[in-house]
Amino acid sequence: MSDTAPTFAESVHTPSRVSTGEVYGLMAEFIEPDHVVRAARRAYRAGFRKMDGYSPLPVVGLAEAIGFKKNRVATIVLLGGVTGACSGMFMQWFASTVHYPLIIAGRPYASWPSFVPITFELGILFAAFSAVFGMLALNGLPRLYHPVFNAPGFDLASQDRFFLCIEATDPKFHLTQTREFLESLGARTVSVVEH
Amino acid sequence: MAQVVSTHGHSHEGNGHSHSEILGGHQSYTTVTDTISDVVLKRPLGKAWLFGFAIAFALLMMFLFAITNLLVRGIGIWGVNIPVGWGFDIVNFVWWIGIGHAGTLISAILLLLKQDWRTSINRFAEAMTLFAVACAGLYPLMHMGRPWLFYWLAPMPNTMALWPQFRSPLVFDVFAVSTYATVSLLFWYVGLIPDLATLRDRATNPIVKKLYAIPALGWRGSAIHWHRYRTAYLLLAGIATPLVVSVHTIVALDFTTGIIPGWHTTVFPPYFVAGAIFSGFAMVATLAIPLRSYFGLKDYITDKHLDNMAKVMLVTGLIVTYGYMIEGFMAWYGANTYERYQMLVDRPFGAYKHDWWLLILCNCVMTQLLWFKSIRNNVILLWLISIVINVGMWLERYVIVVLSLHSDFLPSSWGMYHGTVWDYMTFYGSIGLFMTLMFLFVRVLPAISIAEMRELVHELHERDEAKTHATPPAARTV
Amino acid sequence: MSNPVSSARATQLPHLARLAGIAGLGALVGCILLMLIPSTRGSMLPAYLVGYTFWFGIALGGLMLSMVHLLTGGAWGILVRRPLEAASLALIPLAILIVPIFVGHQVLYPWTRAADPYLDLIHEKTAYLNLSGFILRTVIFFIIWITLAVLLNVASIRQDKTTSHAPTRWLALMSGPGLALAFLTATFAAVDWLMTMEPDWYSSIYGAMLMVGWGLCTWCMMVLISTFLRDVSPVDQVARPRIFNDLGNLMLAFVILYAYTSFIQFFIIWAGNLTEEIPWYLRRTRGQWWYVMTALIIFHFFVPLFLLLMRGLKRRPERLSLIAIGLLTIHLVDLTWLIVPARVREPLSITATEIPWFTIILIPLAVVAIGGICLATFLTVLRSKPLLPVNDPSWDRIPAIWHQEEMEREFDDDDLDLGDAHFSPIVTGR
Repeated sequence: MSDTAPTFAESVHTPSRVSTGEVYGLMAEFIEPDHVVRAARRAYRAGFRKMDGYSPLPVVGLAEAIGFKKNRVATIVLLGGVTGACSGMFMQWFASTVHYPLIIAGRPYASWPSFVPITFELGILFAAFSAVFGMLALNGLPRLYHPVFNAPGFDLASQDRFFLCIEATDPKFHLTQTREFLESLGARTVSVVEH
Repeated sequence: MAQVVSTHGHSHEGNGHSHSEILGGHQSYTTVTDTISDVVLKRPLGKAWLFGFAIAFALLMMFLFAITNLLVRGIGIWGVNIPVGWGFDIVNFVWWIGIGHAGTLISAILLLLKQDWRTSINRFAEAMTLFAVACAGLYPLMHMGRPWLFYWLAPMPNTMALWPQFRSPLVFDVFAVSTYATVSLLFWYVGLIPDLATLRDRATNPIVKKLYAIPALGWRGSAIHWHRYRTAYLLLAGIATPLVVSVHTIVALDFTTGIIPGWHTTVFPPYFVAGAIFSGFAMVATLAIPLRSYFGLKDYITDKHLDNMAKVMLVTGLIVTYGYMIEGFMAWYGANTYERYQMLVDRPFGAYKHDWWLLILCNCVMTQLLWFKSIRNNVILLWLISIVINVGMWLERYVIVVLSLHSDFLPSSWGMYHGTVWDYMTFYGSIGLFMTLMFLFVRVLPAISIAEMRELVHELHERDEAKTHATPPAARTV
Repeated sequence: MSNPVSSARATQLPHLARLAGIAGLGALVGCILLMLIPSTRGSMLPAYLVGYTFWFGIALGGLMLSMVHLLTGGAWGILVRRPLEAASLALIPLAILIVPIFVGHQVLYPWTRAADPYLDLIHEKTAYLNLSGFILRTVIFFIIWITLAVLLNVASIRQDKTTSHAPTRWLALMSGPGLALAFLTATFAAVDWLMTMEPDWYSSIYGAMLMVGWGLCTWCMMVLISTFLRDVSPVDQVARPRIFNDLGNLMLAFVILYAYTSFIQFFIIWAGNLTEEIPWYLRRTRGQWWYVMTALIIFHFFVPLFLLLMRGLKRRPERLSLIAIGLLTIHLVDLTWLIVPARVREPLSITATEIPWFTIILIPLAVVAIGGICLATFLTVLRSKPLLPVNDPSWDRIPAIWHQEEMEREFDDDDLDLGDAHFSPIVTGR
């Protein structure tokens, strides 16, 4: 029994976990934002789907070029805002009419005009939380480790360079052919990204 | 229909910014990144920074001393009394909250209005918002007298099943200010994430690198991430815009819901919002002018920026002046004895007449100087005017809070109010808190958004291209 | 440059102007006849005031918003500056059309009546509430507005004809003080013509609130005229989806602002609950008026808010025009709600809960009468000048819009020609 089950040390050092040259993808470097957009569009036309662009500024059209369509952030924010506003109105209505009805200044228990400000504020608060945490969750952040940081010179992706990475999981991926393809797109350098 | 308009390559010097107006020098993604991040990562501590920080820190210590004394002895050390139960604490609260509003205006509203000149001032304006709201939030807490019971304000029933009074603007305030502080923090932090990644990637000291890496959350600049990020950021801006209006509206409701003479007037909310932006932009100018010369950022915070800020101050100053006029007129037209006495006799000719006239001088008269381009373009004069406006807006709140309370309906219960030394120590001390946070901020975080400056470089480049290449679309046939 | 459809649209303008003028004059004769008959006078005059306020707002909005554009710039101004300027000149016929309100003052303004229960309440205000002061102020306001409108239009023509920057600079220079002056005078016009119908009531936000509503109507009208002319050369160069999107956003902003000012006024008066303030709302929120108020909350705020948040609607001129027509209609209802319940006999009364249907029926007549004459002026002025301001500095913004549209088209029909000259490697210092 004990000779078939891997030990703890073995399980940690299974080949998939260590960077022994398992390829994550190929990283092409570009100088100008327009170039990376064009390259991404052509890669998509060539049939690549598993890829991502990396840039120090939001490049218009890059996400669309790599085939990104569904941006759910707005829906999440709308749902969050409506939830916040409804719970705000419900809380005030419940507290003032059901839980502890109290006449103040001769007003009705359910004085909707004075419930408007807090309803509004809670709608805003929930919408803002949904925007930030929804965006981070969809992006899978915070994240402690990601293989693209192994690419040489990738620190420039947060400074002044633009990258396109075709990932090894793409069915059309081939180490040398894809490299040649990326070079033909005008990449300044193309490098192998390891896990 | 006689003329066919030709529009090819039309260009004028006018409202459209040229390359040099809002971004000096020849800038690229590289130079923008280097210049701004080097302020944080490479620049040694300067003597001027240390000197300024020392003063701010000393004021902060005075603040701590004043608060400690307050907690030990109670709010009897302040000048508040009956009838003037709202003194410096409420004046300072409204003043600080107002200052915070310009940050949100610059970062959110100007973003929605596609005003590209906002890019280089939005980061530190947002920081200013955050620190100003921190200062503001302290005052109502201290004003409660027993700040350790602040959780009584939370929306939950107490042991007697009693809830906070949801029909009271003071409870609106709790929700508004805490929402505002939270949303401002989120907005600021979301804006910082890509810049923190830049600092992470540029830092050479491994400890510093780690310190920036943790809040950067592993940001890698993925195109899909940027796409969602942009949506979230724009939506936050869209959310923050009505929020900033609602916050100062609710502050105004604190007064208008009461029927005290001088408080109960419907124009209060919009002119409070305008006044908040007025004082906030004045504070941005007060901070930006020394900041840009000390850190050598004149290419980023240009004379065009200062000119635009001065124009915003002029417009909001005029709205505030309109507010004073119309509330004065309505007090007379409404023919309510108490309103007429408060607005037309007590304020201009009563015991506090000096404060009132000084307020008019600062907010209404001095602002008119900003009509002139030569004054807007004189950096020293503009800086002095911005300080005058800050003083004027503090006086405005003082006049509103104190004067209405000191003489309301019953002459037998009229009284006088003056701040004590502890009031002044708390006020100046909170400026110390604000300045300390500001000094630390400009040292440890990029005072200008690097990612958005790169975007600006890109956009200006695109616009130049469009001017030379774009042609009008051919007439459509239906 | 022009195709058959666009030239047909262009030649329609004088025809439409004539049609509007005839309809307007005809309806005006009807209005005046109904004012002369004692039994219908009491219904016709409030209806006339509703129609007058509606169209006056659009004309004044034209004056103020064109000055706003001269100060702030923006691509939208290229499309709507000429219609805005033309609208501002409708202030000239409006200055004459106010005469029936002066003549019928006793019906509309209780403080002008010799024996009225209001008089006890307002003897403190006679320095302001007296007929000669009322007429004098209105005359001064119109002199100011018409002077500004004429100066604006004249300088605008000069700007078209010269390459020098002098008219451009003059326009920017006059707009700041002009806007401040117009804002202040319009506040008091709102107080005089509308607020004093209930002389015991006062609200300091009232003028600003009315102006926001007028601005909203002006944007709606600009969307309608731009949609009508969008295929006419040269308007087609700037009547782009992006600019309609901007106009839609401005409508959205004004819808929100109007809701804000209205709610704030209501909330403060409701919370204060003072005898001299609250009856104004009681008259408007009880009985049949309750339904009107509820409809206003839904159709003047929530429905346009959600519609105008949708980008797809804002970028299509036809759909945006439908929203604009809806907003103009509901704003007319709003003005009716503000003006018509004011006609109560007892001061501080809260009893006026019935909608006076005869007055309501007469409102369309008044809208056609005043609107026809205003539109005739507007269209005549509009076609007397080039449809676009040729030398406006905001032209700077337009190429970027064309460029973005080109980029979008390029994205749609992508090129697969590799070996592009753009891809030569660039050596950098790094």
